[in-house]
Amino acid sequence: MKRIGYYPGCSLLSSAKEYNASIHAVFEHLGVGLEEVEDWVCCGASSAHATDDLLALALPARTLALSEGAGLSELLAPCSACFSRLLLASERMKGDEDLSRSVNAAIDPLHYRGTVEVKNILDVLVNEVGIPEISARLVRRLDGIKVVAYYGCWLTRTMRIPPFDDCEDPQSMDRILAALGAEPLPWSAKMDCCGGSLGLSEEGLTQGLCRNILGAARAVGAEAMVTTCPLCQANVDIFAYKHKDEDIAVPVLYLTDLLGVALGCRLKGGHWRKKFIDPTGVLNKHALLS
Amino acid sequence: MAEAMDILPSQVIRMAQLGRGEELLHSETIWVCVSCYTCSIRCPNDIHIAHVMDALRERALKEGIAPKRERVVLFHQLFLASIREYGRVYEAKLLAKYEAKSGELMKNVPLGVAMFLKGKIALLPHKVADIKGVQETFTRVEEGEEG
Repeated sequence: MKRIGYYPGCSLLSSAKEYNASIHAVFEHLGVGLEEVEDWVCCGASSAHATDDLLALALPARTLALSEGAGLSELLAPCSACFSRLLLASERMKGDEDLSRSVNAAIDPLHYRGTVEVKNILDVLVNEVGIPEISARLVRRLDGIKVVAYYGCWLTRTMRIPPFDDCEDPQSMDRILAALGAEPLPWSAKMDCCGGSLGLSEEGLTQGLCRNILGAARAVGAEAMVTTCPLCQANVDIFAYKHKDEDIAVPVLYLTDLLGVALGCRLKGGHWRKKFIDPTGVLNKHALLS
Repeated sequence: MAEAMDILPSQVIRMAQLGRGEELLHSETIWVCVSCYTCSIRCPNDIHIAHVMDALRERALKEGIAPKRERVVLFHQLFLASIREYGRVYEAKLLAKYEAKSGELMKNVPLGVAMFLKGKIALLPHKVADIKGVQETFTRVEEGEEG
């Protein structure tokens, strides 16, 4: 069995618990063992990089050093924010000796040498597991369900680090969804920002973003939005829930929710109740829950 | 997010070149920027504008300049305080403190209750074992910057 380092991040322990559950179920079915980094710390997310560059490197560096110490050469971070912070910290330290020295001084006695490859979930699914392998294990095709793949900001905006997919028009999630039998629709908001960490503090500013994203999904006739980022899921799902009267809601699912259905994983009874906009109507319409 | 900015990303770079950094530190823009990296990825001169925004925010805070969007800074401070205390974010306490301190008490309570009922808020913090190490990292970062 292939093994890979796993960094769930804070969201997957709370607001995105069901994402964590579906990831574990799906990877088990795909024969990939997830080895959680022991004692990982929060990546610092936007709050660290928006206020202190050294702290924004030191927090991910602690986790990277722990992963390296545990002999993990690859680290899967399913949350886009965690992925971005870990990747940027790792790559900036690799490329800059002085910087690496200051960051390592801040995390001593831990030390990061720069040997961990940080991966996002789409990269692992498409380039390591592979779409043929996923297709071979399907037990239920998702035929007929119209979806939009919502990538959000940080998966491919990796700045000077070559992205794993096209940075303006990524296709990897669309390809996975198509392989499951779903119909991924082309749409205009696949890379649009959900408002990230400002979703709570400056709701007035970010609601325009969520309204546009849902509007774009509705405009092409999507029955569900599919994402791999817990921030995107929460911001858009909660916005739709708070603005029920506007008739713009679209259920927002994790890619691993649908992969779980297609691979025949056992998702717990309460799994679908974790979403604010209930997806069971759409899933039942396509006979995906029976 | 550009519609909520008083100075547009391209203008931020031009003003920095012209030595008008002080105006940038007082701007609304630096606190409204969500770090989506769209401007950075599309800049024809390959300038990482979003990272420039980070640097401006950091400097504004260090110089004690009152932020135009106080709640954004409050959220960041409480978020980092949570990591410093537990090594990971403890949402329940973060949200309660934010509600109390932002003057928006009760505004998000219905949502908080709904999240709680959906099991989306962990009741207890997930504290890391080496919390001492995490706190040392915070202290060293602070001391390094003072010294």
